[in-house]
Amino acid sequence: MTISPISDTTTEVLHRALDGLDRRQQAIAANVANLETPGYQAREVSFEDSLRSAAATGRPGDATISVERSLAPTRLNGNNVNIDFEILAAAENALRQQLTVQGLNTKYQMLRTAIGSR
Amino acid sequence: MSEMFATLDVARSGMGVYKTWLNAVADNVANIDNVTSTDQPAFRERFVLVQSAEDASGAGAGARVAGALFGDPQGQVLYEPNHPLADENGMIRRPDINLGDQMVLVQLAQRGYQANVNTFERAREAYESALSIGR
Repeated sequence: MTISPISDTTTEVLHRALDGLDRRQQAIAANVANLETPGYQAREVSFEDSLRSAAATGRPGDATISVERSLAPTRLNGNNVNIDFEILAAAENALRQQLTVQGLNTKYQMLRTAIGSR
Repeated sequence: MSEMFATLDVARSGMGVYKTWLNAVADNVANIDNVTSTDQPAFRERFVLVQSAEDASGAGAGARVAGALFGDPQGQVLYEPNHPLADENGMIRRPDINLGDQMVLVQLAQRGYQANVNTFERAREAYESALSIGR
């Protein structure tokens, strides 16, 4: 594997994390849109564990984003979306997204410093 | 559906569904006291049929209105002999809609709409921060 100075493991991991967070954001929006849809089962996105082990091997691109159905108990109409959970997850996800963007920006700032432009 | 800002479309689909539901409930309440003669059908309560929409990512593409269902045209037959529409037995027909039920539904639809506006805002903020990458 060649290590480019612009795109190294750190940026790759952050990039992959943004992909996962974006997918989770979409799943949360879909869950909220289907708050009262009969028979709808909430979606849950997980990628952190996979990304962690992929980053450990130095190949963050191998991380997978998986979407699963929530196993939470269903209401009478067969729906198991929990609105409190979804709103909290949306808030947390937004913060994680900002953190990841901040990480990328810091990384690029360091590159700029190294290049010598300001 | 635009791939780029997919979450905004998902939230918008939810807002559309809950707005349609609000419209249906408002229509039910607006027509709750409609009186018809017994040889005419009563106003039929409207129910919105919703399905979830799927996309290739598996995360879901939101919700969509699949159609409408209608309540019982029989309604309630009531004895109101002084009513101009009353038949020879003094009976008229009113829709069989419960105002209490409709008030609960309007709350559900309103809260659902607000929740979708919330996710729309969150998604917009996230996309805005993503657009600042590399600045």
